[in-house]
Amino acid sequence: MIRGLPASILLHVGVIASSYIVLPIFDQPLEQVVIVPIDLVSVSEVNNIAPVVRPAEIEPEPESVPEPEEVEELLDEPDVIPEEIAPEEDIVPPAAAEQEEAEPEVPEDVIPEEPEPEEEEPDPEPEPEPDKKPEPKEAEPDLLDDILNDANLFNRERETAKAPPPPTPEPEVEPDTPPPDARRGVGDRTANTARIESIVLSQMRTCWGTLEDLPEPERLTVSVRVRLNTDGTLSDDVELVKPRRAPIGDRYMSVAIDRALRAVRTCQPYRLPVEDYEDWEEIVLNFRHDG
Amino acid sequence: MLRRLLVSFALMIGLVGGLWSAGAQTIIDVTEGTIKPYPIAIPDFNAEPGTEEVARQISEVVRADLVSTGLFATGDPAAFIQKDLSIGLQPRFADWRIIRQDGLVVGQVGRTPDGLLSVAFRIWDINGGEVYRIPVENRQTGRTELAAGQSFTIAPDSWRRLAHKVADTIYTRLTGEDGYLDTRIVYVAETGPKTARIKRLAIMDADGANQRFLTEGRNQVLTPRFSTSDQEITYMSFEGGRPRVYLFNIQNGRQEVLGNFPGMTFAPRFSPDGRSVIMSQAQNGNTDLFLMDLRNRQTRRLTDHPAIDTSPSMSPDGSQLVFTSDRGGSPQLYIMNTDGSPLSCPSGGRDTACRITFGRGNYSTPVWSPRGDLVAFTKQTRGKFHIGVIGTDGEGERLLSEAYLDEGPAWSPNGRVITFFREARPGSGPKLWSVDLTGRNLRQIVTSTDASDPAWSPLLD
Repeated sequence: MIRGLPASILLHVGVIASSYIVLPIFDQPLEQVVIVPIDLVSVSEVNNIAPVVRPAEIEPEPESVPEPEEVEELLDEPDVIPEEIAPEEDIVPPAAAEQEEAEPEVPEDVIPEEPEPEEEEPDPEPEPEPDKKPEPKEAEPDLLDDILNDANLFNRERETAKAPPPPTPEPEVEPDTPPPDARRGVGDRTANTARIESIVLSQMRTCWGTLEDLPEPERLTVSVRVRLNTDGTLSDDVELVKPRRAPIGDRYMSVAIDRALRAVRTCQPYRLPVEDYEDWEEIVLNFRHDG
Repeated sequence: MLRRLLVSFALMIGLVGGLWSAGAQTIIDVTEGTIKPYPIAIPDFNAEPGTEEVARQISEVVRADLVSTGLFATGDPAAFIQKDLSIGLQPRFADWRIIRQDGLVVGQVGRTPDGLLSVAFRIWDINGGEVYRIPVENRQTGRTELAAGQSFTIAPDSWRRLAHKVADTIYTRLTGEDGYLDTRIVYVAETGPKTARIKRLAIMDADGANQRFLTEGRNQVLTPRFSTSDQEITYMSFEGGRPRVYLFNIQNGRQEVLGNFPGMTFAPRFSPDGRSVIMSQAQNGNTDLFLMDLRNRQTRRLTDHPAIDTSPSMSPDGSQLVFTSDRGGSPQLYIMNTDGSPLSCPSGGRDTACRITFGRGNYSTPVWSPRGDLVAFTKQTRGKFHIGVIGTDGEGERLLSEAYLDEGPAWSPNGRVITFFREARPGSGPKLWSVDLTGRNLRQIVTSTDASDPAWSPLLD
């Protein structure tokens, strides 16, 4: 007992002494964690973009481009019918001749009944459309003006809404000073191109029929140029780049060309980022065998 | 000097200009895709009075033919929106686009004044919004022209052939390959118990219809092969107790023995021009290849080697042949020039015969594709049999099937499909199968008896 007392005192002293040394560590302030809200942004959007964006051009395009096209298509259709019938009379062998004699009568009777041409023929429809488009743009603000004039609060909002128009009168400034929403950055946009490439490839995978079943697939590379609307549809007919036309007598090259053209047409619309439209407005696709 | 400078300057400007314009657009290399069936709608053809039933049957056979190729999917008729189709009218493309069809066939069946059955049809490109132009021979000028439609006439009892012709036209127009649906397959029909098997020559349409026997079964027959003219078959028969090569004329049923060789002859096959037959001949314990000219019945020795050389098959141009030989120790495939001259081997060196297979296992029954680019074969390895294809340079071997026993490949006349026979398990009896050269679309051709050794006819006239 007597022996144990000094030992106990020593132990207690030791513990208290060590606590003086160790405890101050816990006294130090903890590192403060600051929670920072983060947006996930692809690198290419920040550091690999061209400095200038052309908003004025992009916006009207989706409205103006496809519509004339539709008009063309529609106008074409009625023309096709007589064309189709006329050549067949010459070419389809005698067996069909009887039917053909009857055919010209039938279509003439029936075509007017068809809803399509009737709907399509009226030219006024396409014409007003382009006219209408600009009209609403002017008209809408006027209407809004009438309605909102009384309310100052709304007037303020309208002023802010009208703020974008001022940039339009000064398009000359555009090249020098990017518009407010243009993203700043440097680079040659290669990362954007890579992103566009991966999107197009993933879509193409289900549309293109490959060349693996054809003899000598290595020589059957087909290059086509496609021009796209902002909604990802083809704005123009697909252009054969290489070979320029289906070579006569080379049936497997013709098959390869057919497959490429069909892939490009059936795969639309291409789901590509509108903000990078200038990167995919025109694309060259090389369909080739990767042995 | 100045001119040279100017030229190089101009070239540089051109090069820079080219690079500039190339850099202005996105260029993408597409190397991956999928072979997907082409969606095509084939509603029942319109019928003139009295042909309603046959019109429905023809439409059905056209659909079945195209689906059997594995390259087309015919839409469900219940989903078709436009019902008022007529061969003389443009269809409402939107109605077909909405149900995701890429093609549409509109047909009309009728009778000609002289009692023949006629069918006229058009193929529409739904996405392109136009009719597919079809090459048709103008009977007046004799020239081939592109027409907006096609028509055929035939005797009413051959309506199935009419359907096959329509299907072949659609197949050719949309795939770019020759058709193969209006063809026949000759094969060995097997009946009776294993110990007393009766083997007869039989023939059927390529879709399995119209099966009939060509021989009575008194003698066993093996390895029938079609001539390039569709009326003649060469095969091996044990008539008179000795295996010999025979010719058989399908039209008149006449058969004759081909040459009077000492020993036995087997594994015959026509040359691509149909003028000669190549075969194996066993004599004094050695088997070599021989060619017989069918016009003068002269024979010529092709190989002279102590090993067993058999199963010869000629390239489409007749300049080379592929055969099986065990000269390397095990059965493998070899290629040689038909005239026996030495050739440069893909594996190096020059020789009178070049080995093209080096994989594990035994290779046999090689058949040169009518397209010329591939050789089909039977491969036996690790207790299984396979049908496979390999490039004529020995590259790109691809196995298309695997079973307890797969044997005897034969090409469709367009070199796209291979038919062969399969015994799924020991004692189950052989059945005929077909597979696309990509290995897809493996399907059985149903026959009324067991069947082996199929061979495809050329396209019928």
